[in-house]
Amino acid sequence: MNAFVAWTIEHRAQLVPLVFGFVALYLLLPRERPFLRPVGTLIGLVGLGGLGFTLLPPGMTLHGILFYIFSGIAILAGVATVTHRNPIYSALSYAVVTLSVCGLFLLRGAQFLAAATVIIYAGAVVVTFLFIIMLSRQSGNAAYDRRAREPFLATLASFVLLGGLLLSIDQWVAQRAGYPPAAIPPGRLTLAETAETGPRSVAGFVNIPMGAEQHSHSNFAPGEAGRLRGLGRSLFSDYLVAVELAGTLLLVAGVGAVAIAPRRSTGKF
Amino acid sequence: MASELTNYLIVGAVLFTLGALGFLTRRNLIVAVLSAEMMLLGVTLNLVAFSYEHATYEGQVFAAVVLTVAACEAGLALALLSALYRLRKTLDMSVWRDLGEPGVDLPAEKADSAPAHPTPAQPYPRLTPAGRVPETVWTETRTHV
Repeated sequence: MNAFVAWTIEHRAQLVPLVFGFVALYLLLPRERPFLRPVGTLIGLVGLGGLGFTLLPPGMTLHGILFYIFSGIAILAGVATVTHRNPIYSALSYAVVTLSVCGLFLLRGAQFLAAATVIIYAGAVVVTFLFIIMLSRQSGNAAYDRRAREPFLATLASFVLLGGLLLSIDQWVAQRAGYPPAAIPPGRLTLAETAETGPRSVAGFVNIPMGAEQHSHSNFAPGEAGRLRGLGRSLFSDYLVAVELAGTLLLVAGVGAVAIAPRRSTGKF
Repeated sequence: MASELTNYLIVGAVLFTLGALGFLTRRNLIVAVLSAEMMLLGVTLNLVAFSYEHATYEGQVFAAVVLTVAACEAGLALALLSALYRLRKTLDMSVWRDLGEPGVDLPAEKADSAPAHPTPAQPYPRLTPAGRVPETVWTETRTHV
């Protein structure tokens, strides 16, 4: 028992936001009598603030502030996606999640992925979802949108999963802090040198990766840190088979979607 | 040095968990598919964060492949959902709990009259029983608000 209490106190930074988030999401999930939704919102905001304190402070730089803004919006809109009773608002909140995660991609130097995600998710997928929702929509909220299935058990299961993830990340950081930085073999260009020899990347806030001096296997060419050219070369030389496979997969999925989708001759949608 | 990598990992974990929660609880098929897409987005965020941390392009290449698979999944899921909606006129996931038995017609959902509880069994006419009473699947009906 004492060991359990000690463990709880040691991990209180992770456990407190988990408990708050559990209560908040349980209260926010759709149910017949949603009187406690404002309470759930308040508790959820407190829990989100607690989660913000478990993060390592990225500092009051532009980068850090943008990280807090994007991740906060992403998590809030994610909660709205999961808990909103109206599927249209769920889809729109999901578009907001996508845009915020694209902001995080930009902060991590993945411009191509950010643009592609905006185009594919926010541009194509969410719009198609909205089409389907509106085509299949009756007046008012359907009964299946007003009641969640097993809300307590599902919230418990997902927060146990989240607790496991957070605690393992914490443990991993603690273990990793003890390692000495790996020796860099002579002749390999480290990323700090890479970024020095080339121009800084576009927006200015894509700076040098922080742990890069520990890793000797960087395949960023000189001056290419976080730029499109290297990604394109990597995609079409080292990972050409993966690109071809992805194209084939898209073709097959398109053929399958056309084959599955209802036709006008067999029935009206 | 523990860098900002963990911050991105935590955000990715939260997005993944929210997606899992939505997939487990929501009964609307479309919201379930959206939640699955949100799980993929959390994983992609992890890949991009590791790519930046290790200063390699592998993570971004993986993320591009995940993006492609997510697009395929969304297209196929929407085609399937529209086909399913055409059959039963509902997007309720629990209607599809049993994927149909031979010889049993799929119960179409009625448009009106929303009982909050299962309707009591219909009184059958008194006839000589010619077999066992078929089990009917009760489906929840939609209400107007």
